[in-house]
Amino acid sequence: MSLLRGIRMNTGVDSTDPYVQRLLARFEALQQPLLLDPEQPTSALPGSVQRLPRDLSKRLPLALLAFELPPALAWPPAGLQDAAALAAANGLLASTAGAAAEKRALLAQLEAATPQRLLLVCNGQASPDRSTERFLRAACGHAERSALCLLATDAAAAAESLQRWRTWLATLELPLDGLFDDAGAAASWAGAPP
Amino acid sequence: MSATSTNSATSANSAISIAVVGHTNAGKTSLLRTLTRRIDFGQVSNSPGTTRQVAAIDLAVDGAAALRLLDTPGLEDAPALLEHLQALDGELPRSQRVQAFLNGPAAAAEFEQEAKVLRCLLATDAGLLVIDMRETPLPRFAAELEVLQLCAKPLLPVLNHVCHADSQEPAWRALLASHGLHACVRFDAMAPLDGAERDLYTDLGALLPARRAQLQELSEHLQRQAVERHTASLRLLAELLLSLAAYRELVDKSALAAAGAKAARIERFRARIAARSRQATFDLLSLHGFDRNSAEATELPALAGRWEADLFNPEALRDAGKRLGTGALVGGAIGLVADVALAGLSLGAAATLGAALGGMASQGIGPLGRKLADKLRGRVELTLEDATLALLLEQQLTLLNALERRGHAALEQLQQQPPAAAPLEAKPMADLLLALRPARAHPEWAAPKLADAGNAQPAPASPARERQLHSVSTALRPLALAVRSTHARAS
Repeated sequence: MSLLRGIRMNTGVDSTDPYVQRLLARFEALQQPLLLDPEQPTSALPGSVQRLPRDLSKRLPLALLAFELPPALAWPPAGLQDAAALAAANGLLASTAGAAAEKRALLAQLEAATPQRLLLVCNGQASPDRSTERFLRAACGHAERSALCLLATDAAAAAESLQRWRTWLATLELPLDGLFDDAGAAASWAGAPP
Repeated sequence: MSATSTNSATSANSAISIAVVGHTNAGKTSLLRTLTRRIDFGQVSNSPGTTRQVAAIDLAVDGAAALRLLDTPGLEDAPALLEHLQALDGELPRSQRVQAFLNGPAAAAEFEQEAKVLRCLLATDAGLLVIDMRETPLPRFAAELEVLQLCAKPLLPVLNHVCHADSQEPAWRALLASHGLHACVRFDAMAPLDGAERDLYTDLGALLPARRAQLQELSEHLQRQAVERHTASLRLLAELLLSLAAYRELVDKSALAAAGAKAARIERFRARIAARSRQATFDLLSLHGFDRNSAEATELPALAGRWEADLFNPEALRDAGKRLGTGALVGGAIGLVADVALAGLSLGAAATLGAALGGMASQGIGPLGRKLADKLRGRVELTLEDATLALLLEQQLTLLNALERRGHAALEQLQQQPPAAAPLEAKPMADLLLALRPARAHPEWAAPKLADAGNAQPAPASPARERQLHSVSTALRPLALAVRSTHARAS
């Protein structure tokens, strides 16, 4: 590379010549990226969910939780209004934008509620990550049965990102009894069809 | 990775090292591919957490590394990491908390990925913080900013997907400003805006005043390279057009008597033209750092047969012929063919005489005499019409514009939503066809091995051909500029 550049500078080789340019491109392609900090064996979060012993006589029928929904997605969304009313009246209806203290408080509420069914609602257009995994895993640990509903502001545009979620979820061992991208179907699972 | 292993800047002459950091799936590797023009760098996918290691690549100025860019894994759980950092010994000053974390067990366990990012950032001169503007600026991103700022390194936010309909730029700017980050660069890694690369290095220079001159030099070097690549690209296209304008095949009239034989002959001719055109596409890809054999390249409309089908489509040719206008009618016949089977080609005496007359001015009676003699021997010529050349040029300039304007991670978009070939204006097109006219009388200017599909070789150099090549390249400039403007307006 330096040799060729040197030749160009010192001999006046036409660097706008397509063949010189292609030669330069080939030389540049020879430069291999340098691996500085290689990948280590993954340190995944615990695979199984810890279910703590609870007083099941106090458990509530339904918890409906929104996790990191953008302002553009109404909460509770259309299709889950009845489920939200049921959760608010006789269970737990809550949402978190994802701040650490807020999540902690919500998980504590969930633990106290010990719901029979937990319906988690996430933004299907967001990119899932380990922070999401950590919350879902902890939340599922406090419920008898759990399901996830992925909503999007633009369902047509969200097809690719919904697939990303499905692929991502398939790599985790989350105890999800249902995965929905339709609020109506999720409401039916929660026992409060719209 | 130690602090010294990344060539951290201690000397004003050493390569500047920049860590590219951000949330998982924000487009860090795509940005690096665009900045380095290396389609093969790293791994880009729609899945979160694709990059799990730190890799470096250098940008060189005249052979010497000027900038080292470091790709890092995505930050995935900044809220938990921030809590972890805050829970460390409260006596520790902010600057030492990150180091304490890196020396602790969590850096090798649950936060191993984040540890790589922070270790890398600490060892570099500055960080480019890539942000996907389509994401809502949730608390997790605020936590990322706080964690990264604990490294006390200059950070330049790079606003990716800034032109997307779902971009939330104002909300992001507000969040960044609340963390003291007021300077941002709008840089769409998939389709960089004009001048975005220059802006990025200028803004980086403002964050690193001691390195400003170096960054300025790098920016100017990259601009010179872009100009050289453009000039070289136009030379390639000029070579293609000149070769095709000069190319002809002599055919025995008797061989064309049967409809089937005629169709086969025409098909063979078209296949050779298409192969030469594909060769030019490969050359353009290669010039812009793309591997011609990569899956992305082979799916391009120019290579997957879609543009090729258009090239001899009667309707497309008729439209191209109309766009050329009567003022552009030079040389042989023009696009409005009665014989659909012959669309895009000229066959027979009219074309031969037209071409020969076109060549008489520069070549005397020789070529005409030869063509007339050929005709007398019962043979005709198969040549390419001007409308076909115009259509081919529209396609190739569209591809060139896409390669120049778009990032190196954007081949996918080219495949899925190929931009419509930009219609070229009649006047500059007429000038180009005039520049190509002498080639009609010089069959030896065609690449000699055009008949061997895919193996086109440069035609033998001759001063007259070189002069004409220069004229064609010059005539291509305004057309390339017009295509660029058309697509810029459309986007």
